[in-house]
Amino acid sequence: MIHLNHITWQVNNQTILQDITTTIQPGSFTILVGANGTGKTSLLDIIAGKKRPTTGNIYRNDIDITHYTEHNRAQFISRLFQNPSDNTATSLTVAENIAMANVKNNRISLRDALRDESRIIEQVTACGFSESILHRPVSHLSGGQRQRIAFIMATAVQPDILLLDEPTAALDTHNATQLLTQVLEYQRTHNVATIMVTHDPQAVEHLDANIWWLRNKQLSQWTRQELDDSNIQSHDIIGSINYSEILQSVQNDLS
Amino acid sequence: MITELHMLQGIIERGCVFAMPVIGAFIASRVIAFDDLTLQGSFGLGGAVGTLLITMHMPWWVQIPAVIAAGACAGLCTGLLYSWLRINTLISGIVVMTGLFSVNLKLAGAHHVIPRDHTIFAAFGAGSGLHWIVLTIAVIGITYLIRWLLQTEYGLFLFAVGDNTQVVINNGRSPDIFRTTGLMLANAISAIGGYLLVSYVGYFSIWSSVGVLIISLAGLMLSEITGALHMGLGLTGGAIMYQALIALTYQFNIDQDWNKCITAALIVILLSMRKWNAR
Repeated sequence: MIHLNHITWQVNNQTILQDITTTIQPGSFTILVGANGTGKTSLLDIIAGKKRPTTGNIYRNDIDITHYTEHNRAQFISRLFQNPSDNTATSLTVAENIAMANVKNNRISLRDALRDESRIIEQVTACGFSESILHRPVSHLSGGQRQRIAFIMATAVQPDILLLDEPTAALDTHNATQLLTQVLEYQRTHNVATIMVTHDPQAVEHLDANIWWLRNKQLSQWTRQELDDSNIQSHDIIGSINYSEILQSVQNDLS
Repeated sequence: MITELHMLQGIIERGCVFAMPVIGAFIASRVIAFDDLTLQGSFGLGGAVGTLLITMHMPWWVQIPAVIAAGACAGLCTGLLYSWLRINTLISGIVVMTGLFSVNLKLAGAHHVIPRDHTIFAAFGAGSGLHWIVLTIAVIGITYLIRWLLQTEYGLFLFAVGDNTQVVINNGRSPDIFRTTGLMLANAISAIGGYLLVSYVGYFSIWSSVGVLIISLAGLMLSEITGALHMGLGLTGGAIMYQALIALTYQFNIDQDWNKCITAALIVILLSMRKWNAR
């Protein structure tokens, strides 16, 4: 369990996040939404340890981890970034990348992890890849394939929390669907607390998840039940693009 | 014929000496992606520390660890400037390189002739005609040591630091530790090069390290572009090729003042070739 206690984050005397208190329960699935610049990625950065809060504390099972570095927290927090290139070492092979993730908690050496090819094969085939991908450099893979390999890496050693920062934003529909299937299957079978940033109203509407809405520097929180019971619609939170209005406006401008 | 053989021997010997900063440049620039100017200062530092210890008649087994430690300290300083104070790569390297110039001057003076009977060559009974044996053993030993190291878990994470720092963090490791120890390794090897040069030529000059960076870069790029890097010749092949090119300028009686300019032109040609090949 991770608890954020009165977290405030300021940059150049400008407050981005103010007095955020929340608890991430084991096995919970949360969707984090909010307009650009409201601090969604910053909130994930603070949870992951990339940024230090200006005030407030973060606890893991009642232990204060506020001063833990990002790589220390990576022992129990995994993260997937929006850009597939940020998640993998592209000059190394798929097997080397996954082996690095398999030795995350130092339970085995990298040499043993690389020798244990059967485990890596199991990991990639479970995600729909063939064995032949193992010795290909990651730079030779498509963005969608890289992101799915990155997901294997993020979940190689089961984390307490999985932070997904718009993981499908750079992917086409086919790859996005495959990755989301992978995420949901993993989340349900391993009961891992997951926070996913998204701008997709469909995700808010259909996924059985709690909703965190960042606006005006603060975090509004609803469980799925509370959201269903309220009159709030997904487009109230995320907004939607009004294409007919855009077309009308363009037509007016042109005429 | 004998003149040509002597020339070839000289090319190989100087190639082996300058292979050290080339290996250092490879680790810094290609493995951990840190363009480190300290390599030039640590080359001079290796020479200065070596000069001091040779003059003090210290045995070779004291000289070499001391040179390695000095080079590693130079790399540590750059690594700490970058990781603790977040000074950018270029400035960190320039600052330490500049500082080392004074350190080297204080340690060994501007020019210093060393007693040749206390060098590593003398210790192994290698007269001037047999220097190449010691140099070849040294360069082969270090090449294989680095090759082995880069295949270990530590080596893979060094590559990962150069490729994508975030991956190292995501896997629960500190990139600062890998980057700093990588710089220590690169500078220690560069310092060995400086020490070997002093032992080889028999004197220390504060100016002998000037231009080492560009020589290393030329050697590194020659190894990469000619494919020597992947043909077992390793980085030494590039360093030897560079020395052969410089020897050619002697053959054509080109004024040696133009050497640095020729090296600069060579770098431009090699970079253009690389861009051309990439198309």
